[in-house]
Amino acid sequence: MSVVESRAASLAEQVTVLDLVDRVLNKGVVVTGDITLSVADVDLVHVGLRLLLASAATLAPESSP
Amino acid sequence: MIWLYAFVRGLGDLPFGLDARPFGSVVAVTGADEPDPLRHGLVVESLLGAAEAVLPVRFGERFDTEPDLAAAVEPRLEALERQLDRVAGCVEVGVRVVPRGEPANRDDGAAYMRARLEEHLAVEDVHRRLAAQARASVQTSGNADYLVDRSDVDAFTVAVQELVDSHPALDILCTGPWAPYNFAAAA
Repeated sequence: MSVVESRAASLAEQVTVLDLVDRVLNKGVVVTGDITLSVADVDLVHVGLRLLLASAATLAPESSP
Repeated sequence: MIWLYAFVRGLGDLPFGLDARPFGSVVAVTGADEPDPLRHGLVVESLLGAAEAVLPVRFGERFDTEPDLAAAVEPRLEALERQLDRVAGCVEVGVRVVPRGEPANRDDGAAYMRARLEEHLAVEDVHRRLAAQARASVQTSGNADYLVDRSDVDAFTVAVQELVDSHPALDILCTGPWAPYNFAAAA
């Protein structure tokens, strides 16, 4: 794969992940009615990305030798 | 802890690691391990291939016990059945339309506004044509999501390509197919 092709492919992956996380956090049926992922005026996708980073950070200490 | 991923109908083989909890013909798909948003999304997408109708549940829905889950689900069963009817056999296709390139006529106010109007009308034209090929659609400026019957997805993709070819001044990005997140909540 050329550099251009691999950059395009990884951009496509990033768009896809962002699109999926945006749907997961902002859309879909709610049955409990008490999810508070919304913080006033904060973009929920960015909140979601922080959640993803937090998950990776908590995994890291367990996997270090 | 019970983590809720989606409500489905017409479930075939359940993907590994998930539980199916039936409420009549409506099945709540749950898991025991806490997911992150990405894993939640991947689970829901895997259900798209395993059930006839999939209603994605928003990330974060969780219950301490089965009776807690039942207490939340049972009063909503009628609405869930209606929403499952609405999305049965369908997938969601996302389309983003953005005017391409540098705006010209920066020195000429009237020409600039005319060019912006033409772009806006072109974006609206794209969404109108695609909405005609879908069961339903939601649109926020250049970003739209379409509820498309599985059997119509190929024709829809052809329509998108035709619009790409006929609107060289627009960048058209098509994503999906997704589970119908934008059509899951009550209309």
